[in-house]
Amino acid sequence: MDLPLDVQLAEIEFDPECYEPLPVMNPAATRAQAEKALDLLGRAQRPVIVAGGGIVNADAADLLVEFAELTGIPVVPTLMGWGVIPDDHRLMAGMAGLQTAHRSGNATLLASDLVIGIGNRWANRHTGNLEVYRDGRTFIHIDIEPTQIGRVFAPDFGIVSDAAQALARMIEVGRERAATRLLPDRSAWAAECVARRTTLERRTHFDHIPIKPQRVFEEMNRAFGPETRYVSAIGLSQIAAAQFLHVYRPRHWINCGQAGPLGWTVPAALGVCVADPDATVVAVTGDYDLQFMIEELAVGAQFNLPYIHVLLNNSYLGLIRQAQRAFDMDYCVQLGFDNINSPETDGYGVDHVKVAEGLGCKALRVRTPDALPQAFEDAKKLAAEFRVPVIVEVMTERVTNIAMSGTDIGNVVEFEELALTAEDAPTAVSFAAAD
Amino acid sequence: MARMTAADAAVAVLRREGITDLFGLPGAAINPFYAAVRRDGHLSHTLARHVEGASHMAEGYTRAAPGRIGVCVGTSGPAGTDMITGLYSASADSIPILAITGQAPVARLHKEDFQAVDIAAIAARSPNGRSPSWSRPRFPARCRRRSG
Repeated sequence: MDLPLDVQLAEIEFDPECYEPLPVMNPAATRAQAEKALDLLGRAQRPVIVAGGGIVNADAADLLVEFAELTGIPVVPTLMGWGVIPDDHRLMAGMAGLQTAHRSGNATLLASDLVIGIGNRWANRHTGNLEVYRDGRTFIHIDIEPTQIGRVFAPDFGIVSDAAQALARMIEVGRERAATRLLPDRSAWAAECVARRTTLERRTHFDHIPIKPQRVFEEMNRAFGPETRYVSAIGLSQIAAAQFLHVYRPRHWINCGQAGPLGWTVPAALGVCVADPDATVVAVTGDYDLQFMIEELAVGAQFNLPYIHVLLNNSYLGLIRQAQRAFDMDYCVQLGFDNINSPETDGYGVDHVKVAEGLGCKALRVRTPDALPQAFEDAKKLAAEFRVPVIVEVMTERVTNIAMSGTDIGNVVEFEELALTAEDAPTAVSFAAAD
Repeated sequence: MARMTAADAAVAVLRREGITDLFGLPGAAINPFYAAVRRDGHLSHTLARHVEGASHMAEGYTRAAPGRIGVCVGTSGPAGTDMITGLYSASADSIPILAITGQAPVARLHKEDFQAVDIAAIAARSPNGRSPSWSRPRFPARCRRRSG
């Protein structure tokens, strides 16, 4: 909305009392469309629901869970849909994708024979190579935006609908079919998906110093409850957060999925604090995302917008460094230097504690895994007492390669040991879900 | 009928659309709007340090809770171009935000005035482009959340 100076100052006749918001177009699935979707689902042996951010935007998470429970179909949330089904729900199959994904989510997607996408856009970081992603599967795509249907690939059946409207109509048809025993029993397939979660966890329990980032997420899972609203933007920290943190509610994973602009996290977290002043807001980034728009911390200090910012400082552009392995280089991505004012930063360069304090925030530095629980507790107290952003700077190992694929979802490269027992991933909810 | 400046009318429309919060920073070309915000006295304003920051605050705000969308405000020229990254980020994920910019007087457009960049044309090229334009009468419909 661009307002020329003279337009702003022009005098006009206007009666605010008679102003009414215009109606918003909200396309709804028809009964016939819902029936056909259920017909296709009924003919499949191993269907999955890919649940996208459109379900969040439509406030339809409850309907999504109801539909999944009614039909017994496992759910693979997209990164934007993460939280529409709680991580510890038995039908949560894990996220699929090249980076921000669980091993079980990819395995379940590849084992499926039908995918119904709801409010999603088949983003390339979710699908990877489309030949692998689509291979032999039937696709149903439901999206509110007509131009999204068939944009990435042509589905076998597409429905232009608001996610809530489509889910409500499919639940209506599903209930009728359940009453006449026309819904297939999916319990064996769902059990298979649960089993994949418990056997395909990644390891988080490392005692290394400098700290391995996986351990930070393990301690975050212990320190922060299901009411926590996580905020992140882009990079290895975002990818690892998606692999290791747990989200239980919609709008509790707040992340810019497609654009991924560095620096987004601090201002976005402050926006979340303004929208929901009572929320527990926890941001997680690497050092460069924080530095990109670090000046906004002053806004949090000035306007008393408290949140906890978990900073994984590896003094690297870590995701770019990892991508540069393909070029056999480590070039222009190191952020370390000897800080003449802060020798205690040991060559990591920027002293984020001093910068944060200079901007009116509170900050802690953590160097050992044992100190993480107390640091998170201290951070909560500082945020509550001073009502300002609190940075928890975790000095991590410089080089960590995070599991990802450069090609397809069947080809994710693991760089670390996997969890063989529950002790290797003590905060993974899948082990609990299987009990 | 009430006679008022267009800036006062714009603030009244925001209020009627349920807007309660603004993120931004004032400047010469948007000061009449800020004067209207001050006269109205009901909108809460968070002063960003960078206009791109204001646009991301608006996006985080929209994402956090249903029913209201984030609004970012800035002056003409670089303030608008700073918001482009925020518009891209929000629109790429179908998250509605409203970006309000000041502009040089209409007669001075396209005459290379100080901080008079054609931000509507620049923003119109953003992906999934919700192209902003001061000449479009339908803007109020954009103040509300697009669902789904």
